[in-house]
Amino acid sequence: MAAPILEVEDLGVEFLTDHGWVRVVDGVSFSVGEGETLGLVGESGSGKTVTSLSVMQLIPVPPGRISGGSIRFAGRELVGMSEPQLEDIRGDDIAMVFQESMTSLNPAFTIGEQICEVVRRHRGCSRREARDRAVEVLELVQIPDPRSRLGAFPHEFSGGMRQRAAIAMALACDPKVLIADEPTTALDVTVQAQVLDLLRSLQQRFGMAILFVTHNLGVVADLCDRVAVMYAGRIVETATVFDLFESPQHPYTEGLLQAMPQLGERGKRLAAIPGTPPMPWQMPTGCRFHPRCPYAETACTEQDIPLRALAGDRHVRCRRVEELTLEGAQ
Amino acid sequence: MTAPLLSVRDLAVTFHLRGGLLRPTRHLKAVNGVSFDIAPGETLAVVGESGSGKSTMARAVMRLVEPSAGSIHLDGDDITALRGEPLRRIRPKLQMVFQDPYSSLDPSMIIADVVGEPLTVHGVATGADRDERVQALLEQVGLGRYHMNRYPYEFSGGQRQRIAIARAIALQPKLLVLDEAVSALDVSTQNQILNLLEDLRRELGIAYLFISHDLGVVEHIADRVAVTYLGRIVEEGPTERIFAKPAHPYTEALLSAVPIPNPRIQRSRQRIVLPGDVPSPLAPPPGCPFHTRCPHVMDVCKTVMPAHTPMAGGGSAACYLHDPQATEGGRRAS
Amino acid sequence: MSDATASEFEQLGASVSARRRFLRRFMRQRTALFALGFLVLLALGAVFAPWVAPYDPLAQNLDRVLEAPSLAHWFGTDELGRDVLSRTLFAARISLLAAFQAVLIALVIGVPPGLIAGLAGGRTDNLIMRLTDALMSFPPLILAVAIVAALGPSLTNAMIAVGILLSPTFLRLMRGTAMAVAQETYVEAARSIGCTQSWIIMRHILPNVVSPLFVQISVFAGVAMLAEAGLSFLGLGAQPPDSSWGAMVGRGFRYISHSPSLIVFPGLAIAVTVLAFYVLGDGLRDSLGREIRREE
Repeated sequence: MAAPILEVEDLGVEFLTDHGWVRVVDGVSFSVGEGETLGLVGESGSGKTVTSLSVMQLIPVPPGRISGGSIRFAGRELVGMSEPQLEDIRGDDIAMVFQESMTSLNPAFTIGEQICEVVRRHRGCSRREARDRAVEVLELVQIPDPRSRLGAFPHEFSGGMRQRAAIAMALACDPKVLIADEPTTALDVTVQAQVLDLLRSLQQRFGMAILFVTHNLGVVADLCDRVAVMYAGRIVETATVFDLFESPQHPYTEGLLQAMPQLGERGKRLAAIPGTPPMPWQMPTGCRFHPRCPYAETACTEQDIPLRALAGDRHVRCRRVEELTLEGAQ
Repeated sequence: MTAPLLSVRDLAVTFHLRGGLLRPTRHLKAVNGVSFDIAPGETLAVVGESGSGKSTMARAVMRLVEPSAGSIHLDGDDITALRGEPLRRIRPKLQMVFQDPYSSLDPSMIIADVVGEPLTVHGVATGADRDERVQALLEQVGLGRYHMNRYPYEFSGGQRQRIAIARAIALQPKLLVLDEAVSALDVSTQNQILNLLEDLRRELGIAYLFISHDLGVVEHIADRVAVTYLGRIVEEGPTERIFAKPAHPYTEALLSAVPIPNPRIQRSRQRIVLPGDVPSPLAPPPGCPFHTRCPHVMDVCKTVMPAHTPMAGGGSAACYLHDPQATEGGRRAS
Repeated sequence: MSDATASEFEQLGASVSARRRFLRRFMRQRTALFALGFLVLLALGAVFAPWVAPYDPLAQNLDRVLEAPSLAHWFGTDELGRDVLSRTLFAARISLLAAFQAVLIALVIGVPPGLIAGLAGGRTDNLIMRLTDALMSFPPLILAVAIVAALGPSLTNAMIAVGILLSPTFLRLMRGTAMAVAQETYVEAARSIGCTQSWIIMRHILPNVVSPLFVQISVFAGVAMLAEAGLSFLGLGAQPPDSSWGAMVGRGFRYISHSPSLIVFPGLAIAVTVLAFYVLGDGLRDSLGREIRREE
């Protein structure tokens, strides 16, 4: 693995809810190497989005708070950093792309103004230089006739074009890390294929690290180098993308892979993980997956299961990992 | 072949977007000359991307939006122009499950009333009789009587979709229209619902009109598939044939764009990445609606919409590549 | 923030019934609870005024006119030697009743056409909204004075005027909410089941438009009370021997240099009560959560 550019260690995030302070992200650790794509996979409520927002301290405070842990970018600690310092990093060294590009683009300003603003804020260059840079990045994301598109407002773009413009804005300052939170989920599949291709080629050219948050295992298989699977606020397994799909070590990962309808034969019943994920204020004791796990034993319910390191830079949070042989993707 | 349960011919739905002082009224042809049949107990999946008009198709069949042309026959009866009481009387045969389980259940009603409402409004059952039936329906979809007095708030997305299904099957419909019914759910929950639908089909013999953008799900659940693009069906046929031998370039591109959840296969397969976006349905291109993005575009595609040509293996495709007359002339542009 | 996060946060609160969730949230609103407590006490004080008040509010004592507050008369006495505390308590009845009347009239005038406009749409909506615009383009005070002049000066007539003036806001609120609710998928689902139009309105739309109404009612009770005070101050509202807080301020105004306490206490009563209604409205809105906030 390349030298880590982004390291998250023992991250805890809490939210104030009707049930008091509730920990939605609990002891999450991972790192992303230079030029690497890490997929952060989980279902809704797994804490994957909160984790990705916490990296840039973008969770709303209140009701949220980072209750512990450390987030380091190129060795610099981000937790507890002052807001002005964070603003220097946001959009410059670390950039974000969201699911709904309308949330990252301001409807009241043109695409050009918004990209120029980011460039000028971080580079302090002239208007003309910023404009040239904006044209350059729009060209990069394959927006046709970029110079004339500078004056367009976000709503004048189609969904796919908006997402590409949002990526262009994120790339404007050559970030070292790109955090992409479900960037293709709201897009049609043919447009999703374009955006994935684009991200792949941009990464090859510029070598930025990507933290790719998604629930879609197909997209993970397409784009990611390594994968971290989250369940109920915790990471349950990390592995390279090939290892994870071929020989999952955690029953939840197996369940997710088996649940992909593409892999089920027609007429046969689809594999489904029984039950639903727990609410963060009523986490099961022991392994949080045990109520839904087909391999659970009494011992799984008793105490917290640590994340264990396996050979080949893999980690898994299952106490039966040695005994079980789980099925991967066909 | 048995008589079709649902027969749709040349269906069109046009929305009139009212203009303002300086803007003329615009016409959006959401559905444009669509025909299909569904046999009793059969599942037809309508797939397509945004702007394809597939949801409007579902709503037109449900008579929730007015068709502007064409006909809809259900069980031999013309329901295209029914209104008021006669329309209400055919509703029991025809029910729907909506995409968003969070907004399709009235937040102010308890589950017993939600599921029992079709029984009440059609005078099928009241009082204790109704509650008994509601309980049986809830059990049929994997919920229990202890859920009856709760509010929709208290349920997860998957559970709400079960409730919506219980409501939809309460009147024992012959056709269930499922509009992206599992799209809002997580994979693990989604499969529970798909299995439930499979069970219900087997037990009750319901036919499904299954609207979806998720080809993986469609491959699993459908008997036949109709592929839509900009308000038209561009290809239609048995599921096996469509997935194994797609005939229309759009179907081919669509299948190729769905990432396969296996990195070895996904990274080694040939992919067709279409350029550009789906054109706006407000200004659809002339001729074949797909010609602006089609890798095989010919001159004729840009002017005249191709007719459906029957395909080997079943079904048909609307593409000049399969129309012997069009290709003979050697009119390929590229 | 992305949609995924919003739904994740939403799920955190999704396992309790709507009513219990509302109650729990409301209980956490200290100031709103305090306001509610004050209003309940005030209402009790007004209802039981004959037992609570230390003096007969109409009993004159010309030996002790315009006295400053003392142990015998906590709020002092007025120009006829009547006890101001007792009069304030009795005036609360009139003021609260007046506010209630005005809000009730505004509801009756505003809610049904608002619902009709929102649900019927098209020409009906246009007609109703243009009439409302016409009503709202009159200067409010002049309209109120005109109505009172036409119907004769009495508190009820003044409150009819206030109610008419407040009704357009209810109308617009109901129109907007009804339009939004009618667009909800559950209404479409009800149509797909085969519910009749009137069933859908009674069972699906009405129950879901009332919650924003409560917020507005609370705020408008305050507004109506203020309006009543203003009209009564001008002599267009409560007529002697009845007295509302506004009327008390109006009469006391003549003695402002000699005995300012005459207007201070009823004035304070108005200010605090109006504030309490506003705070209660805010608290209700916050406790109802996103269902209402979305409408704003």
